[in-house]
Amino acid sequence: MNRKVPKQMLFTLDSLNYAIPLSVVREVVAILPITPLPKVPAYYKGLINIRGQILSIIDLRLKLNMKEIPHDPKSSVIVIVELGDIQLGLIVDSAKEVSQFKEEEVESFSKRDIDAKHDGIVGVAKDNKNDQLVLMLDLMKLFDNSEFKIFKSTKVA
Amino acid sequence: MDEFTIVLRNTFLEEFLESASRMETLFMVLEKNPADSDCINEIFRLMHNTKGSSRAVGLDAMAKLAHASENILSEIRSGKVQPSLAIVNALLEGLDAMKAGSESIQNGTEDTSIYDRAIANLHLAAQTGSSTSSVQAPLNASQQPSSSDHSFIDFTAEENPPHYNPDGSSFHHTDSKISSEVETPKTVNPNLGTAQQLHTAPQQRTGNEVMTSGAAAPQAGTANSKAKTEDSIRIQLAKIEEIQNIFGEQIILQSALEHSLAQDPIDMHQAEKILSQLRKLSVSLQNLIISLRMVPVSSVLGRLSRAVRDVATSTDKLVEIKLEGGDNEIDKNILEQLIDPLVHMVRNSVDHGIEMPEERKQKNKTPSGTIKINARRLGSNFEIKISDDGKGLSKEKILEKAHASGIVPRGLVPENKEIFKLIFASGFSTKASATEFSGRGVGMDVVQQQVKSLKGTIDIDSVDGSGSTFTIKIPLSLAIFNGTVVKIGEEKYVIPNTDYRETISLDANKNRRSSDQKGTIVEFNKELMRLVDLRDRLGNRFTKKPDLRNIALVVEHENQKFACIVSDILYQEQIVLKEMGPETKLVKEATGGTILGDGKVALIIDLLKIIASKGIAA
Repeated sequence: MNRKVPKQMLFTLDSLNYAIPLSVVREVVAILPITPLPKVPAYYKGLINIRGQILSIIDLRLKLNMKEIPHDPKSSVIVIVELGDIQLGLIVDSAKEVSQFKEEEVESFSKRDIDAKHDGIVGVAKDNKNDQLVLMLDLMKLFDNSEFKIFKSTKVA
Repeated sequence: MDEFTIVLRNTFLEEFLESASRMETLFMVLEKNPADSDCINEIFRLMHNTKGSSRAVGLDAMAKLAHASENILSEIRSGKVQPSLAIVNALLEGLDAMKAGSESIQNGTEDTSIYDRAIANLHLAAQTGSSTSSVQAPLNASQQPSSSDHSFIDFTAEENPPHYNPDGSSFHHTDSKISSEVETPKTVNPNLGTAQQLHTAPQQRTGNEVMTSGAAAPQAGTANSKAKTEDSIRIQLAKIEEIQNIFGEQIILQSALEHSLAQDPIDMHQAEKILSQLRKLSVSLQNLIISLRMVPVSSVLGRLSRAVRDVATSTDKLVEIKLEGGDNEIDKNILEQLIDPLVHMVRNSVDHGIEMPEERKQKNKTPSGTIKINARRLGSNFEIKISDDGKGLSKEKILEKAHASGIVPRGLVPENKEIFKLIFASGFSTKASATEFSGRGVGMDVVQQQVKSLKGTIDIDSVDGSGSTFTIKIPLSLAIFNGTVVKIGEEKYVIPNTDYRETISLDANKNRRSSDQKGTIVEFNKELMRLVDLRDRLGNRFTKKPDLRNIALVVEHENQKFACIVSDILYQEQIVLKEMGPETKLVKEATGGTILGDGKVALIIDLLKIIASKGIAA
């Protein structure tokens, strides 16, 4: 029973540890000037120019119903993820290490455990090395259920 | 299937589609001129290539069909078989089957049954037309495999023949030289001059062209939206070399600029000189890059001639198709989206416009009708004219029909041009009954939609009795345009220059305002305009202050003027449209995005959409 789950990238939001699969992370960049968009949900912060490519930016704090804080340019970063055909930049409080958990360290949540506002959190991992808990986030689930509906809009458009 | 095979296969399919359209064109030439040996040789070569390549990428079923086609072509080449209508039809049908097959491969489900049918028809056509006399096989021979032709029954007795039956069939005289060439494509037979050509020519052709997979904008064309493969385009090596040269120059200037900025004091004069040189280079680079996306209009001629031919043969009409200005280049994406409308329009012209040969004689016209396609650049637009010398559109008939179906209220008689445009209305057709090709009244509606989606216009001119002309105008290069950068609230937005007529300054003291239930109306130069405050609509962090002076862009929509208030007009510049993810569709006011000189993203907004969605346009 020493099987491992896929490598995860850890980051923090409101002093909580979160993890997303490293396979969806394309790169991590510093906060760039964001062009806000009219009439969109508050967590959809706007668009950035990343080497000539236009990218949508999501404030993950707001998406997870945490209070908004001004971004600390020293620690806040944009994690660029690739979800299907869509690339998004996620603002997080700070990016941390890449970890690989053993299967027995991860406890998956069943559906009814999840509070509606914490949709997208699919499990919790015990990080024994640093003696902390890490919330495992499923980004597809997080966005699929929201009014943002990025994955559905591809069909409508 | 491993990834490498998939890549090879996709490359083959792309190449095949190109050679298929070339073959179609050549078949048209061959039909008119059966003795044209260059033409038959080229078709043979292309078909042979298709056979070899399809087999190489493991598409054996397609290779079998190509082989069967090739056999007939070789018979034609040696003069043993005449390229009769039935034979050309069967060969074209074979091409269609291969095209359909290649599409199904790209969709991941190869359907090989269509090949078998096409092979069967090829055999049938070959057998009925194999007597060296120029007897024309009946047109429908290839389409009715159930005919009681005994030679066909012979053939069906053998299940799925891999090749021609060498004994007993009309092909027993197939000469050994040809079959050796067909069977061993890797060896060059010294006895046949053409065999040499066959292997070297394709290499020569690809020698000075390279394939590049581009991040081309998503295609709306029907064939392409289905394809999973990335779109690609052939580019002349010379163009890439030119880009490399310019890029090299840019690097040199860049270091020169760095050098002059490192001077103490900074050599401003020198720096400015270099900067202006850099600007010039950027412009030529931009033009070059735009030209990479361009293809000559003549590349669609094959498909159009084919469409004309198909309709003409089955309606027993004689039609010639002429293309003028085929060398003019147009964006590949645009051309691809225009193919379907163009095919539809030429089919319509043959079916509705061109009269039967006898009728034409009675009218003192040549028995054969002509469809002329004229393509040219017109300022910043591309214009395609399709004219026929057929019977033209009858204003009376159209109007009668429009009145009868209630599209136009009785008693109302619109202007000439407007009457002709009625044929674009959905469900409109003056033809008494629908034929296989047209008359259902859906097509022209779709044509108009497609042209509109390219931001183009379509106009009709027609003289009753002597023909019609359809003029399509498409703005060139949708990717780069002149735009005005405005400030709305705190943000910068881009408005395409073609979207507004003028900018005005409104003064609350001079320009009287009044309001109705729909909003505010302002009077400017004795004209009434509706006010649309874009700051309300787009200004996220806008704090409204009572302002006496307003800057507005004037937009005309359905004969009404709208004054769209912005916070400021900043400057005009060339805007490069950038692709954005599907999630940005959430912003309904925007048609796209761009990156401004300061490196920040700005939305390109669609004023007409804003006006229409506000519910004040009606």
